[in-house]
Amino acid sequence: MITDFRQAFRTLRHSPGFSTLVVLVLAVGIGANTAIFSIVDGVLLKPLPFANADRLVAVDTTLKGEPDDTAYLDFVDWRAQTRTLERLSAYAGAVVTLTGPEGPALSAPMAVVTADLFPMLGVTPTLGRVFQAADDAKGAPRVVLLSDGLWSSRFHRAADVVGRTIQIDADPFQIVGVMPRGFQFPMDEEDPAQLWMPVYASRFATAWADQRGASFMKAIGLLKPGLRAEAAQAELAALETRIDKDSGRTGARSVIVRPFRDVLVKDYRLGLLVLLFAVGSVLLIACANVANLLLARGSVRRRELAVRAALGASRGRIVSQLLVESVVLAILGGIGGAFVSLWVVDLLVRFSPLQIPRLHAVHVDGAALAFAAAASLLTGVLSGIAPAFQLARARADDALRETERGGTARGTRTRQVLVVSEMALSLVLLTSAGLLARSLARLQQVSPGFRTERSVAMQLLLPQTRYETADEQRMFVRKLRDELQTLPGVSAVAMSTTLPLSGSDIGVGYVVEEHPLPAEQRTPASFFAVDSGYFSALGIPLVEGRGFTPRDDERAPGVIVINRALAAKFWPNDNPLGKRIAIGYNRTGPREIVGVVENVKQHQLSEPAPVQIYAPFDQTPWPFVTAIVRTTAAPESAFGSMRAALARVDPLLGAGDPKTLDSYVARSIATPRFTTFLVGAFAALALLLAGFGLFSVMAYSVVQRRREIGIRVALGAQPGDVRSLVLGQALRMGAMGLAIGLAGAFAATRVIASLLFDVTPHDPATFAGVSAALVAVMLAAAYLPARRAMRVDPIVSLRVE
Amino acid sequence: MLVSLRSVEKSYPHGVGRTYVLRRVNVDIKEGEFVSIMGPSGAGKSTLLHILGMHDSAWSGEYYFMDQPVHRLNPKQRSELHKKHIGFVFQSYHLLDNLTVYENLEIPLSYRNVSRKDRQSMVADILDRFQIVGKKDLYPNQLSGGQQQLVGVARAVIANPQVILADEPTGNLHTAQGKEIMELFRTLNESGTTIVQVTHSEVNASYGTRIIQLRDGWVVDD
Repeated sequence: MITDFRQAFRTLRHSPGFSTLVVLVLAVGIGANTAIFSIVDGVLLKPLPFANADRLVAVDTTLKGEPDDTAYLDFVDWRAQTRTLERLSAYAGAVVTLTGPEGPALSAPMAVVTADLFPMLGVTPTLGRVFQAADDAKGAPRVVLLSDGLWSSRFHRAADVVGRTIQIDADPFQIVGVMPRGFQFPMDEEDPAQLWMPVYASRFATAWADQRGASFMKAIGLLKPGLRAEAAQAELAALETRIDKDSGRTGARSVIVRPFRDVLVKDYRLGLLVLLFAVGSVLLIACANVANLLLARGSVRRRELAVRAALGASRGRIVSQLLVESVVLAILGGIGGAFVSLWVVDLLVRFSPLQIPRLHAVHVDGAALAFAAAASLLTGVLSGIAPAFQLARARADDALRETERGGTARGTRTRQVLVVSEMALSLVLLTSAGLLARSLARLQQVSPGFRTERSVAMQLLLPQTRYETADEQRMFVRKLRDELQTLPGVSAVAMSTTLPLSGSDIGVGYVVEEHPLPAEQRTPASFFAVDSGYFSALGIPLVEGRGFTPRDDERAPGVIVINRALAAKFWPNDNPLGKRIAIGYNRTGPREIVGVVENVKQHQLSEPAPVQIYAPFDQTPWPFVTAIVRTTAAPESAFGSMRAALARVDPLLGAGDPKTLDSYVARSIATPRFTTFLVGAFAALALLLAGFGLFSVMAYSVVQRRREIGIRVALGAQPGDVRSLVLGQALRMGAMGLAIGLAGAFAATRVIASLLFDVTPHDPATFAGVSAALVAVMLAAAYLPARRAMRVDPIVSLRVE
Repeated sequence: MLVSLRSVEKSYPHGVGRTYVLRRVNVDIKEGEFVSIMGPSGAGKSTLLHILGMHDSAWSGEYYFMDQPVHRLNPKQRSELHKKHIGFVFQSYHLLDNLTVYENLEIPLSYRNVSRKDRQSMVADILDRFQIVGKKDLYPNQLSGGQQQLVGVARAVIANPQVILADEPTGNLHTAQGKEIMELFRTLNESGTTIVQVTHSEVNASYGTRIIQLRDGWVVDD
């Protein structure tokens, strides 16, 4: 074997061009596979970085079968009564403003958590302690934990930070610990929490914690050893039904318990697996290409191998020597691939949508390198096996007698089969990419229902310490609006609680006065408290009635505007204006519908707009405020002046980074765009490799058929006849690849149906388009060899005899 | 006059000078002649034959074929002329390995846009004439050398050319097979086909009516 390796290295060194080409093809294939494996492993497969990660479960309330947030009181009951879960914790995200001598007001994402969360996750702090049961009690001193990042940026990693008091939303909090670097919880937040505090330390959580109807938390539990999620689900669902009954709460609530990791990555699983399939196909195509090159080169080596056979080498010995050569090539390709993967992973992590959980921590690690090594060996064997057997089969006496023009029909067939397979596989990939691209194009054409150009939004949370009353909240909004209106380059200003497609949504219950639904049939509506400039600033068209005016203030009768979806639901053939709806806001009475506006996309461009209700901010003030400005110049130019305007109104209030409305829309399609881009890139690579495969087979075939072509020319074939001869051969292979590929694509694209928007998995236009693309590449790949064939000089080719 | 060569020369650049393969060749061939081109290896015999067959266009001088100035024709016109009037027989037969005898015979017709029906009858006719009907479905590697050359000659005459150019047609055959092929050429010649062959064999040359001797590219005897 060692001799085989030595000889393999020597043989490969003697043909540096060939070896370099093969190593490069394999490095690209193995590198791309290793990179995508790293991501799939890091996001989908690796255990979560917590103790007993395989026993962690997400426990969610379901409302009409859909997972929803959980009321704190429900969570408390579950925790007290569960027999299937060893521990149960709850958490919720929010934004707070840090003020104090450490720096300017800072808006920071934070999470309220129950005290048992950190022990359950098995996370210990870098400094200080985590929360204790006593911290969870109502009225306990306010304590907070810092993230490593916040400790660095705001406290310069001061060793004595534990014990210090800081101002959060104007309340004093004592720092009790600093969490370790890299710790992130909740894990699926685009802006990870920088602070953690107990539920009753937060004013907003305190306000909601005692309301059975306020669902705002998520629960995570630790299964008792040996139990499955289904057992916990059965137990907690029964418990929830009992809670509903005991509390007199209506609705179709239940509980769903699923492995925590599965819930975290469920939205990305299919996309990542499609990517893995795509990149795996690229490697297979690369293998087929290498096999082709080995076969072509093998025919040059037939005499050498025949001599070996004549000298007594067994077929097994020759096969093993040829396999060692291909494995050596693949190992070199694997080493190159490892470097390629470092670069690709870095690129993917940098340009991927931020929402994919755990992606930021992905890197090429031992598992990925082991994968690369295994992929290299497999690649070596896969690409070498057919050529090795093919060449070893040649009989010594035949090969020794054969002239240079030799080459067997079987070798040619094997090469053609490989090329047909390459084209079929690349067509499957190309079809998937085509469908995803078409779907993305359709998605990009979907109007969000509001104007996004040259508009900027800044989200704020008014701390209850200083904005406790409705008047204080109203006053702040008016002042901020007035301040923003004075900014140069601002053409319109609007204020709202939340912004559609921003990921924030306020759901309110509502009852239509003349169509009261039984409680279990009620669903919440997306709610916006907006100022009088909102509809015009965002360009949301009025369908009927009127929008809000400054006169719709706290002293005026309660009014609302509904969207077209809500109007169609209750008044499909009637005019809703003048009808009345009661909304779940401070138990106030019914409000008159004064207008109907067009639907606006709420969560995703791909989803239909839900029912939406708008009320004047003055009549329904909230502590959540989103300030929106339309600019006359580039919207980014307003970022600084908006922050400055806020500082003039309230220097102690931090704000989230201003973002353009375009960026919200872009973010909502970032994941499909990312998947489409990658599948498209791999499909293009596959097509390129398949094209190269066809080119090499055709070029080799022309060399092999030089004599035949010479004879044909001598017998009167015109250049056009020769061209048709070569292109015809390519087209025959292409037609077979096309037929097999289309059948494969027909079956495979069903799998990605759930990733598609407004495009069927068997979209005829896409199938036709990618088929045309394949034929074009095929013709392009065969064109150069065909031209070469046309230049065959019969005298030269016949004299070679 | 069927063929008329005037001062035909062919040379390759070699270092600072040129190496001549043919020098000032002046040859006339009438219709119905049976000409043998002879000479030692490297004398330019095959080169001359390929120029006559219009496979080679890199030469200087004048070449008239049936009064057409070949030296002034473009490649397409030359090809048309060749297709219409010339058949070629190779020393190594040059049958196409992956085609049957029938298909090999059909090939020149397919390049002459002969209809499928006519092709069928012409191939059937030639198979019959050469008495190789029983071999029509065999592949070249299933035939002896003599049989392969028989097919090669049949292929050359199938399109009824005025002239057959043969490059050492018996070079790879044993004596009996060679005699059979030469007899065939004689018969063809007697029926009006002009034959020009390149040969080393005095016996083969004796089938002809005229010998052109070449040496170092010069015509030394005619």
